[in-house]
Amino acid sequence: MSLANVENGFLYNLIQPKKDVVNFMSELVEVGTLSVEKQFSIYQSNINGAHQKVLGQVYPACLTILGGEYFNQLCFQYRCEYPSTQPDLNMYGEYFPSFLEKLVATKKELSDFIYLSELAELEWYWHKSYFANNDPLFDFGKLANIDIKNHEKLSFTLSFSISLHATKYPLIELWNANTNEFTESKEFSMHDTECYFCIFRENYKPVIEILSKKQHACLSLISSKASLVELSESDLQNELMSFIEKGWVTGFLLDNQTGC
Amino acid sequence: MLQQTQLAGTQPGSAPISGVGLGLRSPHINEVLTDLPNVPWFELLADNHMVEGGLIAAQLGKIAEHYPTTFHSVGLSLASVDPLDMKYLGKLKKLMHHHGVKWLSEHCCFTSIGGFHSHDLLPIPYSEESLRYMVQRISQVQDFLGEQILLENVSSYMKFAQSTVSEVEFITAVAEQSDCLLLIDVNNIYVNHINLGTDIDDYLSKLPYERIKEVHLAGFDEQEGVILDAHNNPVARPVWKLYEQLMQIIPDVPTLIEWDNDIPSLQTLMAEAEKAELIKSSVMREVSHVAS
Repeated sequence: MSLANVENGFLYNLIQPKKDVVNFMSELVEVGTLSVEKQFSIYQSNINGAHQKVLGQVYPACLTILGGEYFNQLCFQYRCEYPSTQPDLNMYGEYFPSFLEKLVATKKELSDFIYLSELAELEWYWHKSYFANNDPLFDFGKLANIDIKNHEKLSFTLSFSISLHATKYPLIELWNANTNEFTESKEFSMHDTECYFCIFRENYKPVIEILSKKQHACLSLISSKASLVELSESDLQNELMSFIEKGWVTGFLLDNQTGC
Repeated sequence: MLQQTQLAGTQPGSAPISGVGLGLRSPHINEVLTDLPNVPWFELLADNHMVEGGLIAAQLGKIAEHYPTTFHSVGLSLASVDPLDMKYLGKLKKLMHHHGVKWLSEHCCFTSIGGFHSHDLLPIPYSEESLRYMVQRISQVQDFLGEQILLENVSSYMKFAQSTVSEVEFITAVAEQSDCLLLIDVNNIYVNHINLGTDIDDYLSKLPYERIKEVHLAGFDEQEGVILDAHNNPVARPVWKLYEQLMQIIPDVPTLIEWDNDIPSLQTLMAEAEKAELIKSSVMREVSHVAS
């Protein structure tokens, strides 16, 4: 068997066990008390442990709600479906919210957890915010030098760390209750109207801030690269200054091309 | 006492790597940056510091400013038959250059294939094909970085029928043919001795000592008759004994204490480093006594 076949057989059987494991194990030799099955299972167990650990760190509230045993089963299924594709294990787990969404829709035992994928999404963006690139300082000088006739081509850029959220579930309360050491059980009721919030990084720490519907709409428009004219038409340009002060809007583009 | 760090200088981070350093992990970073403990050097897991923003990036800058620093990576996947991840390597080079990182060490194994990452150190058969392959990959990495890297012997729980040489013969041949340096992990030698029956005397007699630039020490875990390189315990007695044997031959080579799981207090790690320093100093005294 070539080196390529050995490596492929080894890793693919770790990712999706029993696919072709007998063929790979024929490459191994029993040694001392280590049978070929035991040799392979040590690596399986290492990999399961590492992935469970990292997903538990990224999704602590989901882990608390689902319980360690069930969460670890899901981690195993998730790893088989979405193997890691980058060297940094800290960035593993991006598709866990959509994976949960599918499970909640199909698994009877999860039918009460309709909020779970949105809660996982909150946790993912919280985690991602911590690792986001640093933002540039907003360059007011450069903005002042833009010819007024080009203002209609101006759009704005958001912080690398910010994400926008809208939900009817009491996600923030659920997240707080399941990431801190509360002992009493709590019941949460659905919001009467949609709740808007953003996650961003401030002084190196991720932060959640509640938004008004108007703020959320404005930030969503900015995120979709709406021009200054479009923002003005929506009567949302007044929010801009406070967004810049908060570090949520960090720069601008001309014709969606030139960044400042 | 641990060897004094040259903190009095204007750029302590530029001091050479010597003595017994520590693998610096996230639970201790704040404490280290606040108290600036007397540790000669730190080794960082490069893969955990390859972000360009936020606290982790800022911390790396400060650590490298105050202490001589090395990188230890797992993501290069040196033995993988995939093409080298040049984006990853480029990031490593940029960070090393920017922060004055002294050297990069990697493992004699693969961690990824077909674009999928295991995040575990997966062994390969020690064959002619593997040798040719690793020599070519390491040469490519060294050409790109413009410097030699250190190759580490791994703990392995697998024995391949295809292997035609022993692990020590394999890493020696790789080092000689690619002109790379070596990082010898004493715990890994011991783990492989217990699990795979590796002959320690044979191992020590065949190492190319002139290429060893760093030594690692760590603790193992015992589960169902197998010992695992879990980095979750103090260095075990037989590993200290083996370390002493190694230091008799290369007493000047810098040593590092690794502890990655169930991480204890920084003081516990420093106490482990002090034990290693005592062994080094005692051996060095013996060597100088014999010489005089």
